[in-house]
Amino acid sequence: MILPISIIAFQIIALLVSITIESFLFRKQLHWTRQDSVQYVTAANLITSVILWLFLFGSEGQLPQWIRFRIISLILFSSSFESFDDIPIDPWIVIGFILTYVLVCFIKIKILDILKVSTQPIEDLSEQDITESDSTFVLRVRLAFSQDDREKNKTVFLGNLLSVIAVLGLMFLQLLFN
Amino acid sequence: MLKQIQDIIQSFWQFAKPAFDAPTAYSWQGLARLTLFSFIVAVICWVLGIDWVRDFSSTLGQVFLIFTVQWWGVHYNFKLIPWVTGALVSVLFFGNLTGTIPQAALITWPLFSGVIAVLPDFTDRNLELHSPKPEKRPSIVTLLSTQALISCWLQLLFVIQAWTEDYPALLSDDLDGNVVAIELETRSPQGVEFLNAIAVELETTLVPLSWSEVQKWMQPANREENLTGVVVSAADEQLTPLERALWDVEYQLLNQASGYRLQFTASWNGPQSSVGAPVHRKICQIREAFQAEDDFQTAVVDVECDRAQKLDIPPNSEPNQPVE
Repeated sequence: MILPISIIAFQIIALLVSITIESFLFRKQLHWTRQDSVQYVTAANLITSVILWLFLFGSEGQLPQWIRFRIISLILFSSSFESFDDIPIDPWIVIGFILTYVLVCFIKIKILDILKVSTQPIEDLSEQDITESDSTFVLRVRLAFSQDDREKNKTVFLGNLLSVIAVLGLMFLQLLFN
Repeated sequence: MLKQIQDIIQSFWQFAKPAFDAPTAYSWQGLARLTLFSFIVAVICWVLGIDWVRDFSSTLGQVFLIFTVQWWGVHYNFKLIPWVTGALVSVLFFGNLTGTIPQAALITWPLFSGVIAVLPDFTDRNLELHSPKPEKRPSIVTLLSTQALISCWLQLLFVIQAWTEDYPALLSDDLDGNVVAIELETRSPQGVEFLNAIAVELETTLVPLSWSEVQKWMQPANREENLTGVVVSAADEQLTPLERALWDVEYQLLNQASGYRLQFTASWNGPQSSVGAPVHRKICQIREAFQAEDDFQTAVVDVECDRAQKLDIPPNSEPNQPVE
């Protein structure tokens, strides 16, 4: 059996970096408490990681062979790209990267909405009339999906961008020291 | 002998008695008794060959064991008990009697453990369900998602196992520093194994032929097709279906005064640890030889190959120039 310690260690470091950057930003921009920002951002990052892993497991058999080989090289040899010249600037990769980025931001926004809605008293959240027929759970889910806090969404996009830059920076550092 | 067995049972009972000494029926010791009773019934049914009662009793025993262990852990405030109970639940659902750990049991272990760890937040002392306190919810989500992430990492182990089954060449690459290999047999590079298989196939094909047949076999018009056939047979023998398309094999006929000197080079184009496909080379000599047999000299075909080796230089920079 092969334990991919390198990729697991890298993910742990990437998560720690992302959580630090994003929770700091949330505290500064949205004036969340330190505890709230760390807890919510940690949960959002962990769930997003799980969703991305599940997506990888579900799709890796269907991916084009060259992408599959890049992933295998990255996980087994930590060498998806051997040199800076080796990084393909393929339009499909750029589009895929942007789509993944937007999807990750959207998932994080909704997870934060759900967490925020689930931890606050329902009276504070709803400006609409609470109908008797709605259970608290259904109402909370409905409220979570109807949240549209522009400032928070912007912060999520910015935080995620900074995290991606930091993680890419780590990858380049690894490449340099290889 | 009987006395000794009696002594062993007595001393074991003295040791285990506190665990079964129930202060009340509603205690973990009471459940431990039920567990023991169920397993004893299962063993008796196993001896008597009553399979369905054996299976039922052993499943019931496992369920009681899970509750016993969890209750014991809560009683003694053992913080890691959900992970012990989670393992037992995984084994109950996905385990078998073969002694191996099934994939599903290993992957679901953290998930079951996480659910068990957060259960107290969803129940009160009378085991009635309620929503967890709002301030507890983020930590519950964090705990569950951590466990889900660990499950993903465990799933990754099995995905990697599938990759190495599809592409065994990965195992002979340089994995040091990136992965920890457990119980992995040391193996020759797949390129060497493949070239050895080609050599065996070449020998099997040529040795039964006469020298004139070999000359015909090696004529430029036939050589390409014949050697391709040898390589394809060796690939079928040695490589997995997915790996076959990733090996490039080239052969060159090198200069030689008599007979033939064939150089095979195999290069791997799949995932690898370093830049450039690793190239392995093997050279085979095909000669006419004579065997003494009842005062007669019989002409036979001799195929002799050297050890396959990894090339550090491009294969075309051989000192011996190809014929064509």
